[in-house]
Amino acid sequence: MTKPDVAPRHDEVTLRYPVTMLPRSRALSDLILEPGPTPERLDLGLRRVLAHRIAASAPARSWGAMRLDSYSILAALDERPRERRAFSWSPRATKRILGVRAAHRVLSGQCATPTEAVRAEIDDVINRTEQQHTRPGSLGSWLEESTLGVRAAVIGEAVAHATDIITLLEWESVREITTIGQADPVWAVPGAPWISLRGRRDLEVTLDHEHHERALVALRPGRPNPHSIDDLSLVALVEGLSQPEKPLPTRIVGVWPASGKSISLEVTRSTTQHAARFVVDAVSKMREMVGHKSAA
Amino acid sequence: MELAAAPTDVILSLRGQRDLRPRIDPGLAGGLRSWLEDDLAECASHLDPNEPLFLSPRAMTHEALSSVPPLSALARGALVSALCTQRLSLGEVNHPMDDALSALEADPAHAELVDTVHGLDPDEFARLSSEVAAHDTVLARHLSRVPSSWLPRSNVRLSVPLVGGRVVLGTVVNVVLGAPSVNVASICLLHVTTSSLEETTAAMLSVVALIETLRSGAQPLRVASLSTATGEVAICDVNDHVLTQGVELVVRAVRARGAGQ
Repeated sequence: MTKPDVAPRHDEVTLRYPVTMLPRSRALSDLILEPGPTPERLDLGLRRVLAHRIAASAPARSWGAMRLDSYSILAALDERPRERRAFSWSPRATKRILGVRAAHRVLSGQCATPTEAVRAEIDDVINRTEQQHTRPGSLGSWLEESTLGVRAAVIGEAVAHATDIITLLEWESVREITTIGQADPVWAVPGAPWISLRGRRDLEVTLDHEHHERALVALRPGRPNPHSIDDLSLVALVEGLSQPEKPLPTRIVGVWPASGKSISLEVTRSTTQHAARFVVDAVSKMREMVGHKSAA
Repeated sequence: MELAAAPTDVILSLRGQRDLRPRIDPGLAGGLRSWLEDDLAECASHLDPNEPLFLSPRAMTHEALSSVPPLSALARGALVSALCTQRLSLGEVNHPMDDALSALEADPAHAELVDTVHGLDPDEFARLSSEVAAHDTVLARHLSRVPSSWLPRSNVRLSVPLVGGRVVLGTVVNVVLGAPSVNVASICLLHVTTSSLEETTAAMLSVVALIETLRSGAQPLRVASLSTATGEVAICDVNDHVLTQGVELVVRAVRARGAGQ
């Protein structure tokens, strides 16, 4: 793949790219599996300072729970005005949840095709809703009440995402060491537990089981932009925060299927320090915005 | 390019015979990209990567003034596109207009088109419903029995940045079939239009083929356009000539827009 048009905004960053002359799946598998340096652990001092800074600068608990991921953090730092809508389910909003689980069904041999797997996943989500009486507004409730046209659009989006995953890698070389569809890691901030950070990644590939060395793969829509490295850095930070007993991931591989781009961010302590800085900046901006809303 | 009244099965025609598929040239996509980057470097240098020039296949093959269809035509196209997805996902459509409109209503990106449709007077709404149902009969003929083992995907968004992100080639393909090409070309792309096929259809398909080649690193097997207005189909076997035509169209389009700066 060719080099994405990203301009890292911080120094000391090591980026790697797949070999362009190989088939994409082989090039990406090679990129993920390449041996890296022994991974470091997250600096415990950074964890403590980050918790303190977020707790000191975050919007108050009265504004409700805030689960911050790359999208919301980078949106807060974006100076450009943008329309902010309350979350509601849509076919596009379901594509990742259903698509990743469907890909897992196909790759584990439970279903033969993405279409079959997505339909099975939707049936399961609806069945769980009926049996467990999940809250109104949950994905299951929304799917259960959806019309035929909406259901078709949901299937269409999820099938495309699942197909992107099952055609991403040379599975014969990584199937046994890859985990798909785990819940995203979440770190509730000590001292401000109504704030949590979430790292959105789709696959985890074990590089060395004994030493917990692993690579994380994050699929993203569209094409890379100057903030893409920040996005991948945040995935590394949250992984380190939520699993302090393990070393940091060796690398975070971002993949943009729509543009055919991929990039590997080799993780070091400076990666997580950089991410911690912009998380604090974003949380401060969020408090400013909340303050403006209160004043208005 | 083959242009004909729709064969009995467009999907079968697109997939063709497996043993006749051309081998992938691993250097082709990189060569095309280098050619584009060289030719665009100067004429796109004034563009800001933060506000890139977006070019769709339609914009590259139509005159500037006519490149944006009226909202009603866009609404019809979006409704038929939703039905296209439904035919692939479920294989059945109960009430074309109701099904398609509910799909658009669930997508915030289509809010403006949905408002346009809801703003129609009853006669106009009934006329649009009849039109949509008529278009759906063509989709039913071609898209109701696509084997899921061919990995059909609908409304696949492609977005290829060039010249440091100053120019972005983008399109949404209604139907994509096949696993990514490894040794032989295997991907097929079908563009569905609610208009008649035009003289520019072949040129537009060449740009679609180029975008997919740059995105995936391997040329697709075939690209096609299906008119749900007339039932006509244009099928294009992708080869070097087609991709070269695509490159020339992109360069011409960027130069034309650069000249106006």
